[in-house]
Amino acid sequence: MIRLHDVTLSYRGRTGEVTALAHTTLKVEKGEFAAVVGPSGCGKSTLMKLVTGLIRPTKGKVEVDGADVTGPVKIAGMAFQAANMLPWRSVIDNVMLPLEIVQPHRGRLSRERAAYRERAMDLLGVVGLRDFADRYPWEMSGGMQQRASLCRALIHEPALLMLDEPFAALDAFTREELWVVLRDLWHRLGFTVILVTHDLREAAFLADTIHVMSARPGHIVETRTVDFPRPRPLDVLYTTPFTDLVHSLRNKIAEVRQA
Amino acid sequence: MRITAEDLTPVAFTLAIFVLWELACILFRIDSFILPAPTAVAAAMVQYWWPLLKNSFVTLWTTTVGFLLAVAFGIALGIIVGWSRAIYRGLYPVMIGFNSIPKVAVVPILIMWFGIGEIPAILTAFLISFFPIVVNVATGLATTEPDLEDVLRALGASKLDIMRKVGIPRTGPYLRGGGGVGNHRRQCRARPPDGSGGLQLPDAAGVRRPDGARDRGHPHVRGVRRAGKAHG
Ligand SMILES: Nc1ncnc2c1ncn2[C@@H]1O[C@H](COP(=O)(O)OP(=O)(O)OP(=O)(O)O)[C@@H](O)[C@H]1O
Ligand SMILES: [Mg+2]
Repeated sequence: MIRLHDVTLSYRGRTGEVTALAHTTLKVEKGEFAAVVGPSGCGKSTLMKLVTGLIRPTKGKVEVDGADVTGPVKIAGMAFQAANMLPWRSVIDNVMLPLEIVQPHRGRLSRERAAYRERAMDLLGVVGLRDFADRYPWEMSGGMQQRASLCRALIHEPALLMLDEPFAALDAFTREELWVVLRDLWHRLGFTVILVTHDLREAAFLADTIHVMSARPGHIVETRTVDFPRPRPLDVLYTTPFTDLVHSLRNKIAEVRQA
Repeated sequence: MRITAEDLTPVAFTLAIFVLWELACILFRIDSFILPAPTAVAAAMVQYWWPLLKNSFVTLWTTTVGFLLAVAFGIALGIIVGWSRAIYRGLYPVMIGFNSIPKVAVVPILIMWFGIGEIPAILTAFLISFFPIVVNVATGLATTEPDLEDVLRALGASKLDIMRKVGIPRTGPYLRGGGGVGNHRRQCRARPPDGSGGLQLPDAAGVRRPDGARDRGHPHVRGVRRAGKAHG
């Protein structure tokens, strides 16, 4: 579904060039849950922008769904560390925002408003926000806003979900709760996910494959397959194979940071 | 709705200031020619109610017309300026520069050009509100959160879509702030209509905190001041 062939990306800035990614090769299959971990500033967010077509590679090729990426891919939903809700819209209107933009929903929205609203309500129900649909974002906690942000990323049923440290600003309990929410959404809807995270337990709990990146200029130095059986209960977090995996990932990142 | 102590403070402070003022006038035997006591002002307002009302009305409609013109042209120019970061960065200093010219200094020139009458009054009102509106609208448009912009662009949103869904709606509260006359608070936090939180924007001269309620009172205050002058 997603292929990066030997991709290099340099930002041209006032103070000269910064090479964020160098010779990155990555493969993510349809329906796969991929996690990307690596030291800060190694180009993870850059990788996300490349895959969604927000920026073009300096060298190399990015393919999504078998086609070259030459502009915004339009099949992706995104969520970031900040929920970025629009404060003048109610939660449900925030969630429905992508429908006002992506075709074919855009053309249908005014005619089939009730059906779409139902869909948004269902999604909010899955993340436990049904009762907050008509509230405003500032009436909600950070964790609740992040749930809404996930709904916004999924409302148009994208084939690809891009998450850039979506839970980084949350406390440990809320984070675990949202892991479960994301896990269940993924089981239900079967989209492809690329999750950038600094939390190795998060990566190990959720992902099928974990890609470890080197320090800047980043490239993938190691790809691990995670084969804990699914559906994974939270208890997996406290098993020995899990902690071993997290430990070895940690060592790997410490090593690439040194290099 | 319950009335809290916080709701009462503006009333309490206003009353306290009038009382202090009155006391000061009596205590220091200030000549009413230098500073009339509030009671004397109130008495004059009753006595001259008709000319005051008549002149206030003129001020009200001239400022309203000026303000509406400023809103129309200000939004239009603000959208143009805010459309691209390059235009915004280029024009921002110029607009701040124009905005910092004291409007009173321009009034004599306007009178020379248009004579005494309604037109200079309308234009003065226009000038006072025009630049803040442009700056506020443009800032609201030019400073969409990069993350949010990415979310929308990845969906295939055009620049126009982003403007319509994010840029323009978010200038709403700015507009009410920008429309207010003459209080230069260097603070800027776009708030939702009820003012309880919102998006953070960089601090910039001439960009005000939008709290329309307070600012809407101004034309009236100005009207009375002007009417007083006209009368005496
Ligand atoms: N728009 C830009 N212009 C210039 N340089 C940039 C730009 N965006 C990122 N960079 C540079 O590219 C490098 C990689 O940035 P990126 O945001 O992809 O890192 P990251 O892995 O997401 O980091 P973090 O884990 O801290 O979020 C950084 O050194 C950064 O300085
Ligand atoms: Mg990042």
